[in-house]
Amino acid sequence: MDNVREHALANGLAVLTREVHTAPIATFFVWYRVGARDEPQGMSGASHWVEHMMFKRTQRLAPGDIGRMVEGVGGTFNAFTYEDATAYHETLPAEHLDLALEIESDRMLNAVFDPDDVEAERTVIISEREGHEASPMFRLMEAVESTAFRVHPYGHGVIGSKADLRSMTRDDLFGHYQQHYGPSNAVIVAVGDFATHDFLDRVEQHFGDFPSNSPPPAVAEREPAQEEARRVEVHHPGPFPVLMLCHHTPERSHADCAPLLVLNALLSGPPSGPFGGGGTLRTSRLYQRFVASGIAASVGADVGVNVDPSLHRVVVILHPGGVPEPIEEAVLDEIQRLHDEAPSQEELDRVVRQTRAKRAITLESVTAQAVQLGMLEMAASWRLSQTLTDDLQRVTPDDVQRVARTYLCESARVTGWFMPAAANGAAA
Amino acid sequence: MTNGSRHAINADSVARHTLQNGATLLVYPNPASPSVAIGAYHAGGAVLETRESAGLASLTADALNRGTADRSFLEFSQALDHVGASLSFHADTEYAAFGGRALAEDLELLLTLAADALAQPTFPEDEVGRVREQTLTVLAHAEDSPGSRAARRFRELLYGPGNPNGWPEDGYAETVREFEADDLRTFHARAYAPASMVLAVVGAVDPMATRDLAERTIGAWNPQRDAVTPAGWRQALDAADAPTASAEAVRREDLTIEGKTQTEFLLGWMGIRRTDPSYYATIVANFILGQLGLGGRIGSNVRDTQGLAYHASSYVVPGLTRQPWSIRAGINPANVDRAIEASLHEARQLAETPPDDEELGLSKQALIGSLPLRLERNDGIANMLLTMQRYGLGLDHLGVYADLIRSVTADDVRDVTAAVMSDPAYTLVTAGPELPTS
Repeated sequence: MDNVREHALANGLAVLTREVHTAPIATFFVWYRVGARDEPQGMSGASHWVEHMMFKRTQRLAPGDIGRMVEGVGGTFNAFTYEDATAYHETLPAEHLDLALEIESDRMLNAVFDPDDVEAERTVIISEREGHEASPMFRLMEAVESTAFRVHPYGHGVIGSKADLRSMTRDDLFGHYQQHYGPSNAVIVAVGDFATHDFLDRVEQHFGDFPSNSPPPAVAEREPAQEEARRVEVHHPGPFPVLMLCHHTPERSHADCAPLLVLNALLSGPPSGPFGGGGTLRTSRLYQRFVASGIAASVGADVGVNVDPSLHRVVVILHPGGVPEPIEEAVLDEIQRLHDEAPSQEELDRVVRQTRAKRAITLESVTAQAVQLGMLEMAASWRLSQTLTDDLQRVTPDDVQRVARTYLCESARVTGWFMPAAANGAAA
Repeated sequence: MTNGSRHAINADSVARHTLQNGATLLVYPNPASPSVAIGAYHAGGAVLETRESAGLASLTADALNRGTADRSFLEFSQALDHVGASLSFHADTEYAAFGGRALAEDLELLLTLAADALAQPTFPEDEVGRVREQTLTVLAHAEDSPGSRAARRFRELLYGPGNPNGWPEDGYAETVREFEADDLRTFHARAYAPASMVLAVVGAVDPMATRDLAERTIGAWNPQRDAVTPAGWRQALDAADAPTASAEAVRREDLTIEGKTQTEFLLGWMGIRRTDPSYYATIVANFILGQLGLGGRIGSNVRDTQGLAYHASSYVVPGLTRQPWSIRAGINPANVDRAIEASLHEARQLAETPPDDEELGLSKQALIGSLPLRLERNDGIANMLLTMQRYGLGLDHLGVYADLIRSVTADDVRDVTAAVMSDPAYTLVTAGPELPTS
């Protein structure tokens, strides 16, 4: 992604801009470096709950005002929280871009956390969690993450445990907000139909007077190297068995990330979406092995794009009544193939070509561009969005074989199974 | 007229052409983009199947690219994957459709492959078997998912057993399990015909060159002799339209799914057709009732004030046949009845009292102002062209859309809500853990 400009206010607020004049719209994001990784014991889910509270009361705004302001000019708005960050965004007709600056500058420091609002939102978030619990994939992911990360907060999930959601207080949440929200822990990303110089003046007007906040405590936990393979099984009523076979991988800023992305592209498909994933191509190794052959219903793989070391995951959904052992053996066989044979240069060239085309299409919208810039900046650097295809092009067949042997090895493996069971826990 | 977007999409800027086989081609050049989007709809939806063959239209569409006279499934996939393009087929209740994305230089490939799949699919036995198994797995998932289970049963109750709108697009396990390759071949020969097709191409393309390309590919598809005509498709759609007569009493079913912690409910009434003149008042009313902000008045009551749910909203579905106007929410089982009562209260309130000027103005401005966002991407423009054609809105529709919304009055909002939601005989399905006895 070219033509991205980087700026900084005196109080530490970073600003990334990209002018795009093909449609009269603009998107405005504020990314805060706070997510599940910043949550201490007993406060799992705090970052996500804070995100919900930001749609409630500020000193100026009442619940529902943000929706009325943004949708009243035809815009859309939302927010999301994940392991490393929380992002708030508005996409709207460019002439109304100031509305987004008003809203985001207000809630950066002025959210109220009214105790009644906190209590009402407690049941909303527990309801959100209970909605997720309907999904076998959610139950399996929670079990796998807590097995893979015994020390690092990546092990406790973004939505939080029910126990923590029931016990956290208004002051816990307000403290989390005060500690992590402020200009020097945030990055603005704006993409769309505006003039950068004029836009920066308005950012200065809205955010320039905010005092620099003291840096939040660094995440101290480092996950110790896993020394032997781990395994977890979830037995719960459900429609079909699911396999999630993972390996520990390095952080996004690590030089081995590019060869791992190429490796993953051979298994499932190129990184094309704003979050790095891109769906499973029908010509990929995993699709051919599992779905085209008919032995499983669907398959996918992805590699974590995170601040700290994360996971490479292969997920296979079996047909109802499917037998687990041969499926797990077949995934291990595909991994062994990566250990044994370096891919051809032709395969690698194809990955680069596919990545270029997929990104050109996926990044057609200003919102998708801002998500990619922000996500990469949170994980490592927004500049990776400029160099991604070149980085992939430099990867050699030997690099792919080397990272397969280094990271996709038995001692770094976490194998999770979701197995359908009757309501009493017996095999279905 | 620029429709508030940078695109002037109207009868002058969209090239319209009828291909030699009767298909309609719409081309909108968007030179600012490096890519191209194609989209199309045509006969081939569930209105052309029977209850005994529920899911046949969907399975046929899913299997179109699984082998053609010119390519195996693998060769078909390789042609797309090698250039980072995508092309997919599916069938809805009313129509079948396909959509594709590629770099603009690969438009010829997209159209060649689309024509190949539409005109000469072979439906190899082994590939049909695999698609059938995949569909059965999707159906097993739908049975286990509270939201899907409630939605499927809601439509069955609302439309009754004899209407294709009432059965799920992807069918039932007991019908899908029986389909053989020959069933798909027969359905394809009978239900697929170019004369009913509308194809939109949007992106960095030249209209004349695109027209030539479309003639050589899609235009060269000749249908089977006894394939459905546009009039035959229209008849099938008319037959699938729901009666306006309401049920005599509330229909409620509570479905229990083992192992779930949350209940999803779907509550609604039979609504209107997209072509009904009251459609614009209806989407304004729906925006007020269940969309504005985080779920409109229903979201505000159920989520913000009472803290009962993560999601609670209302929906209007556009269709050539009458479609439901419904309310959905995900609720802790202990609070289901409170949430249902709150939703009904909001519906009745809007059916009795017109909204004030502020709420009405805000909702209308939201519907008008969001148009540029919907036209940002090539596939968004292609979808808009297909919508205009499908519902007979005319290629100048975007020029009058804002006036149609602006002309909706507060009394119109009350009246269209009352016409649907004042009927005491609503349909309600809940799905999730066993509900506590009250």
